[in-house]
Amino acid sequence: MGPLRRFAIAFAAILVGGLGLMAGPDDASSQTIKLGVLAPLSGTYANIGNHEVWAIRQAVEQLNRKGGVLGRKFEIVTEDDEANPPIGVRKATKLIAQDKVDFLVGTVHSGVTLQIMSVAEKHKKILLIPVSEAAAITEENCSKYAFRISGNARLQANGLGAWMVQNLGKRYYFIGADYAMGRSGVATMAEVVKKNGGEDIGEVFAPLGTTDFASYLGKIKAAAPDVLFLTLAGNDVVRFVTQLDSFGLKKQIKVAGSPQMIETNVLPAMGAAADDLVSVTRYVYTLDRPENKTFVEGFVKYSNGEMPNQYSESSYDAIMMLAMAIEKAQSLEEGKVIAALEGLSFAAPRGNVTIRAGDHQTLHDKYIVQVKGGKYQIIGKKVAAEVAGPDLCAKF
Amino acid sequence: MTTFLAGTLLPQLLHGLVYGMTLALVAIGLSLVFGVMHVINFAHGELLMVGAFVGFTAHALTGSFWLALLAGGAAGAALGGIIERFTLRPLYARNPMYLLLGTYGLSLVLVEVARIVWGAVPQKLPPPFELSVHILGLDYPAYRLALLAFTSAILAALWLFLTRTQAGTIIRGVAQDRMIMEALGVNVSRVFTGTFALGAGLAGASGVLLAPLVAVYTTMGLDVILSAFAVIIIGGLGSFPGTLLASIIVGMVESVSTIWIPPTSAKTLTFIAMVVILLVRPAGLLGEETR
Repeated sequence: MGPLRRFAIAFAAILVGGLGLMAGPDDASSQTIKLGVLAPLSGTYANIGNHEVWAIRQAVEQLNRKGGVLGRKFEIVTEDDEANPPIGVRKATKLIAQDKVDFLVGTVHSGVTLQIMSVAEKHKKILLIPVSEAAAITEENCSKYAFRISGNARLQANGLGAWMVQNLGKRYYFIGADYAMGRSGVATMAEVVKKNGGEDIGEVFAPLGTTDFASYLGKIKAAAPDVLFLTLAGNDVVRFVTQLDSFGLKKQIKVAGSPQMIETNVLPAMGAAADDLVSVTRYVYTLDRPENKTFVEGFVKYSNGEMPNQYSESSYDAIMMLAMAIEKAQSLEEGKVIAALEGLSFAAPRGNVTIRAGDHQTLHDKYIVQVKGGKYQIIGKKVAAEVAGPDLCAKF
Repeated sequence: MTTFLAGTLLPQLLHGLVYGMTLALVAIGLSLVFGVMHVINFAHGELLMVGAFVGFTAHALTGSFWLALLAGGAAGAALGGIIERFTLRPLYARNPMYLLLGTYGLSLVLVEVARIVWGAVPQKLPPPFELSVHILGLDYPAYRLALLAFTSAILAALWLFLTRTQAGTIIRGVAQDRMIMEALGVNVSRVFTGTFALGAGLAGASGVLLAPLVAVYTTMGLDVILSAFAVIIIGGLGSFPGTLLASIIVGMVESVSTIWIPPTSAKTLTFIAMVVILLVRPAGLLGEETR
C-alpha cells in the first residue's frame, strides 16, 4: 500500500470517527439539563471549591431522585478555574461553547466571577453565583444574567459593623487580601464603622499567598487599635491568625473579620488561635431548623464527614432555587427563568431567602458569631430587612 | 528617633533576619542540586510540602515535633532519590528542556497526589514549644528565634559536610568537572542520586520547620518557590554563600521596606532586583561565570 493511500484511509477514518463523536453528545444533552460548574479545585481556595461541588452534587442528586424538573434530570459538568481569572474565562467559554451547558454555576474567587459574568452575558446564559462576595457583582458590575446566592460584602459590613462599634470598640485597624474581595471588604467595613461612630486608624493589604506576616504584626501593634478587622481567606487567614496568636497580640486587641476567617475549612488548622474571633455569617451548621437538619445529614455523605459551611449551603440553595424557577417558568428559556428567579423565595437551610429583583442579590438574615473551642456561639442576629442595603444596580 | 529605631526599625530587621534565614533553608537545597547537577528542580517546593505533610502525620501519630522533623526529612530524601533514579536519570542524555518540563510536571503531580492523600484542608503542625520572649517591645514567639538557630545549624552542618568530608569533596568535585571525576573512578550517577536526595531531604525538613508558621497545605511549596528562585538567581546559581547572602538581603529588604511602602510593592522589589542582576551581572552576586 503506497503512503498516499495509507494517508487517505487514515484521514477518512478520522473524519468518520470525528463525525460519530459529534453526533453522540448532542442527542444525550437534549434529555438532560446541563449545569456547567466552575470552582477552584486546586490552589488556595481548593477546599471552598470542594464545598461548592459537594453541595451541588447533593442538590442535583436530590432533585434527580424525584425525577428532575420538567421531566428532565440534571447533569453536571465541572471545571477547575484554579482561582485564576484568565483560566476561569477559558473554562467558562469551553463549558458554554463545547459542552453546551444550559446554565452556569460558579465561582469562588471574585476576580474570576466578575470575568465569567461577562462571558455568561455575552452568550446569554444564566450564571448562578454561589460563593463570591465582592460588592461590585451586584452593584456597579451587575448583570441581568447573573444571580448571587451568597452574600454581599456590603451586607456583611452592615450587619457586623454596627454591632462591633457598639460592643467591641471604636478604633479599627484593617488588614485585607490584596484583590477585589479583600479590598472591597475593607472599604465597605471601614465606611460602616465610621458611619456608626468608629475610627479607621489604618489599612494594610497582603498579597495572596503571603507566608510571613511578622512585618504586618509589628505595624498593627504600633497602631494600637481596639479592634483588628480581617478580610483574608483560605490558607492566608490560617497563617495570619496563627502568627497573630503566637505574637500574643490577641491579648491587647480584639479580632473580628469577614466570615472566611472562621469558616469550617480553616478552623481546624487554627486550633486555639481562633478562640474569641468574632464574625458574621449567614449560616452555621448547628442552626435549629428542619430544613437544615436534612441538609446537613445529606451533605456529610458527599463531603467525607466535613460539616457544611456558608459556601456549601449557598451552593445547595443555588441549585434548588434554579429548579424552582424552571418549574415556575415551565421553560428553560433564559428570559422566562430570569423572570421566575426575580423575587423568588426559598425556605433554605439558613433561613428564608429571597432574590431581590432589582439587583439579583439574595436577602437573608445574618448571625454574629464568636468562636470558642472550635465551635460557633451565636452572640447576635440581624434580620434581612435591617441589613438589606440599597439596590445599587443601574444596568437593568 | 530612638523610638523609631527601637520600636519600628529593629523589629523589622529581626523579622527580616528570621524570614531571610527561612528563605535560605528552602533555597539551599535548590542551589545544591543546581550547582552539582545543573538541574533546576521545579518540584523542590513540592518536596518541601510532602515533607511537611509526612511530618504532620508523624506528629499526629506520635505527638513529637522532632520525630516529625526526622520523618519529613527522611521522606523528602527517599522521594528525592526515587524521583532522580527513575524520572530524571533517563533524561540527562537528552535536551535539558526535558528536565525542566519533567520537574515541572512532577510538581503538578505531587500537588494533586497530596490533595488526594491528605485533602485540601490546611492542617496544623504545632511548634515544639509555645513560649514567647519579650524583646524589642514585642512578645516574640521563641520558636521563630529557634528557627534562626536551627537554620544556622543546618547550614553550618551542610557547609562542614561539603568541605570537610570525603563525600562532600566528591560532590564538589562532580560540581566542578564531572568528566574528570568519572575518569578518576567516581560513580557520578550515584553522586547525582545522593545529591538530589540530599537536596530533597533538606526541602522536606524545611517543610516541617516552616509548618508551625504557615500551616501545612498542598500549595505551600508554590507559595515559597518563587522567592527561593529569586534568591538563588540573585545570589548566583550554584553558589552556597551567594544563596545565604541573597536570602538575608532579600529578607531584610522586604521586611524593612514595609515600613514605608505597601507589602505587595515590597515583594516586587525582590523581583526587580532579580531582573537587574540578570541584566547587569548574570552570574549573581557571588556566582562564577559559567563556561
